[in-house]
Amino acid sequence: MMQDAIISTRGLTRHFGGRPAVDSLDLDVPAGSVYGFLGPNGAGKTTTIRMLLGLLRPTAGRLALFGREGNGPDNRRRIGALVEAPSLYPHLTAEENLRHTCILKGIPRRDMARVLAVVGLAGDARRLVKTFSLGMKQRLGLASALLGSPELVILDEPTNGLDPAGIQEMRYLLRDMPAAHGITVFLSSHLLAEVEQIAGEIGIIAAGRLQFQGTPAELRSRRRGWLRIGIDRPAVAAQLLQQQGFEAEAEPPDTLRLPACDGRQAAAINRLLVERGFAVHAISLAQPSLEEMFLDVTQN
Amino acid sequence: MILADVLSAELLKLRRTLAFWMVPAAPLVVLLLTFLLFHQRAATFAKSGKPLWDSLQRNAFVLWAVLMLPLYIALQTALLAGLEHAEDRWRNLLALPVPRWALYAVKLAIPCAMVFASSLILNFGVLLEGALLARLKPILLFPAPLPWAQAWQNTLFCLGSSLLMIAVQQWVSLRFPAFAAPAGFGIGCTVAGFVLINSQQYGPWWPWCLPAQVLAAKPDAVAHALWYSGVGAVVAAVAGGIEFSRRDVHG
Repeated sequence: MMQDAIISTRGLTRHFGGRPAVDSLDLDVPAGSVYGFLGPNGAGKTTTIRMLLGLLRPTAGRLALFGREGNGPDNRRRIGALVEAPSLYPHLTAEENLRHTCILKGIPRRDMARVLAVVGLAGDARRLVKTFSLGMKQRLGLASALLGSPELVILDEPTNGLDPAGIQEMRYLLRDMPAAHGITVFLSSHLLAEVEQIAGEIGIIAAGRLQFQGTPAELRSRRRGWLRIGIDRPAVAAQLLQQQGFEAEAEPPDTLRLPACDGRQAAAINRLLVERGFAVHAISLAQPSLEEMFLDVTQN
Repeated sequence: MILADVLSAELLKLRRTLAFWMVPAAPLVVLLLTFLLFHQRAATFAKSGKPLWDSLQRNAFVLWAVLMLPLYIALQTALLAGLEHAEDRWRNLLALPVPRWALYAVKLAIPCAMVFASSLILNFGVLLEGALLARLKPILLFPAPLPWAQAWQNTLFCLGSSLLMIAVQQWVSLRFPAFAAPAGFGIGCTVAGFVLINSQQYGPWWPWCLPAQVLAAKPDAVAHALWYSGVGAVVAAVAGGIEFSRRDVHG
């Protein structure tokens, strides 16, 4: 297990009816990071989070939180969690909902005012939660997770149901947590766009297996871009370049595609093609977007 | 300390709930019915010319123990469990740093406390009712002193004899998310109790008949009902607590 990881799992597996929902997961979430846990719906994100929080027992594997094996009450005391939609008591006020968490986590009541201010609900503390909009409930759920300044906040799809303004607000809030409050954020989402702007580390899960773990830059570097050449007779040109040892592919009607290369090599290819009488009208280096990388990783 | 914290959090959740208002409402219904019974049939009850405390207490106790209490327990446990089943609130509650055994213990203690409180209201309400009836219908004899000791005994018998019923009903309520499951289970078992109540063979062993069993004149039948209920409740609570502690929260 990684020593300085806030969350560390090895071979974490959970089967449902013999089918693996999470399969041999090796997660390492560094302290002080915003970790985006990405995957399409049904990939195993929520099952993983439920195992981290002790809601589901793993079929196999080990997990450690804060460098200590297991997820008993002592470890969970250091975590704030929002699992899927916020599960609040609608017949209680916002303040009473927070007080419930305060009592069970042994947190002084004065912290309620702080977290309500953080999520912008200070003026609604005495309102019954059943009168709240979905966005307000989501923010109150986050406030509850932030009570007692936990070292780790685990959020499962926290922007579900929020309007664009709410999503942006939540994004800023989460992005600033490590620097402002020293909190590590573990955030699951099926939307890469939501995560890529705030996460310094990402893990991608698909069909229960971890497909990638690292920084967004590392994900980008995993797959090189393409050199695209606008040219006449691309099939003939591709044949010529293949004879010269390049992995060229024709993309009719007027494009040639090669794996990305450095500028000098690109110039050499251009020279060769021009000398052989091809009309080159464009050369560009195309880098795959993170979205394309994500789709590539999850669909494979 | 853990139990006190969990109890405090659970009590907080009772605010503005139907379950909370049921605590006085259920015994008040029985008190109203017995009041109407004695008020309407005052002449019949007065015929014996004897004090009517025992008769009033027994009438209220029968109505409570045989019919109202089992239904009340079914409804209360289902309502209390429904607070967590709705919107799968278990997932956030059980992610908090609280041992599950403590949650289960407190969630079992709450309906026990409710049964105690309601039985207390009923059995001491009967004393007020007697005093009121004596004023409204002077032919009804409810002489001083008030039978305080009997009121206490009836209250404790209500609680003691229903412990097993509460433990079983609470497990069913916490286990099955749909409100209809524990409510239907409780109603079904209560109806079965009507059939078994006079059975020498099954009545003393059917948890839903135990409150009625403590009405028996034989002291050994009362002792059996209380012991069986108490020991059975401990076994059911431990078994339920173990199952609850090991339960997966799927959502």
